[in-house]
Amino acid sequence: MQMRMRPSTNIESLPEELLYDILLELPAEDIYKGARLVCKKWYKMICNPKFVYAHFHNSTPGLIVECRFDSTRPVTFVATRRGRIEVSKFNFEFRGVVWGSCNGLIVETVYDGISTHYITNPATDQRFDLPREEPDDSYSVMLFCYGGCADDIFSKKYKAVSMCCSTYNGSKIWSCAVLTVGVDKSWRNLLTEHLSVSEPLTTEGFVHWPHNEGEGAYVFTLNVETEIFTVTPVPQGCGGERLTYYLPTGKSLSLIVFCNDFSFEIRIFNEAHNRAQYAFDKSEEKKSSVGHRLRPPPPSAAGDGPKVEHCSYSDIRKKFK
Amino acid sequence: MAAETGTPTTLTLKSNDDELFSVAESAAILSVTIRNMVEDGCAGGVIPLDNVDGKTLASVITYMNGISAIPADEEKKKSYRDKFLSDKDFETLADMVLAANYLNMSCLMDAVSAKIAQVMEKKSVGWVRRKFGIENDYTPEEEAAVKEEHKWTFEGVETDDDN
Repeated sequence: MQMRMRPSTNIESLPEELLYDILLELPAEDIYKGARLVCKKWYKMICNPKFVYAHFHNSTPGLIVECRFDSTRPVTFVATRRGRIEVSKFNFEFRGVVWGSCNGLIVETVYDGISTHYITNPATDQRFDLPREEPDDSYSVMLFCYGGCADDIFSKKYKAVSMCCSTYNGSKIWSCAVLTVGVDKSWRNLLTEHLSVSEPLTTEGFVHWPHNEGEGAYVFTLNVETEIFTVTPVPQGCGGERLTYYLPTGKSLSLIVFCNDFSFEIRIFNEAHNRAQYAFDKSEEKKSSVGHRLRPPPPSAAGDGPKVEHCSYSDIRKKFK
Repeated sequence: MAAETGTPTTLTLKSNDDELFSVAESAAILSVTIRNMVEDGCAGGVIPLDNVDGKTLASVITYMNGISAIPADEEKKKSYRDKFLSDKDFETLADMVLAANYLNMSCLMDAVSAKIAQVMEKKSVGWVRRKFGIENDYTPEEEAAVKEEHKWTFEGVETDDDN
């Protein structure tokens, strides 16, 4: 019988693609503090943009929590790892207020008479200064990633959207400014008249301003990539006296309408709807009028109107888990 | 060895050190490599697996039998995998990742890769080099430069004199 003697298997004798898979499983802090310093071969593998991208998509999503009213409290990162909620201290000195994040990049704003915005990568301690804002002060800044194909990180572009408030003839006017990161030298002002003072809600690639005034309720939406605004009426029966609540749920915006103590109606603005330029459509109101709570949306409405989903309480838990 | 007989179809696998193993076809086809052979009708006799030794193959077959006995319940499968890998030393894990790659068993490969990565978690550079016998090919200047490149922001990585 032929016995094949071979040296014991070690991490060095593994083919490169298997080592790659193993390193991908390491948390980012271990890669930066440990793995990339081990040897040049590991360093080369780790610093490849493809690895960075693959690792990013393999990483744990979580929330950055900052207490704006008490700067002595540390910024924390909350995530679920291995089925448990973990709260870790974010040992990074933010210069200003953390406004939002996208793909691990964070927008912060320092206010010293005029707003200055930065895009920060806390993982690499790199900062990118955004041009200073001309209008009085900005109310919030959001960061979006758009375009490009999923596999090519270099084709992706970032846009920052800022909500600012200017004083005009003694009254405050809200406006919205957009900046393509790395391309625009200054902020570009967009339409102003429909913006409300309410905190904008963001979903992937979209900013929404809900206007919830009785039966004429509507949602004003900005498609960040195309910079087109759309107005979507909230179906009749969802506004008015009934308690409603908007919730950004990742890709889409959901409207939760409380029917009674144990029942909610959930309406979801789907992506296809958001992509199309959408005018105020009276017929949509008819389709979704009161009394149709248990009726599924007609197939024809799926592409051009808000997708209506009905859920019991347990369904909601499943949906937003 | 770890033979499971009496099932409708059994396959015979041969390791590279000529050990023979019989395994239920339903369990063996977790390996895409073996499944393709079965589908192509070339699994009739003895299936030689030239890249896997007997010790590793016995382990892999234990895993195949164990995991295929669990109904479609991801939670239970995961806890089986964790338990299965918990007492394996590093060398065994490295052999298993090679075998899983050769046999094209993605579920085992992912689990073993994660387990190996777990060994490195929160360990210092020196520990990783010593543990895996990796030679430091940086000059002190180069190493200092790489360290300066990005200052990481998390706390909690142990220092060099740890376990």
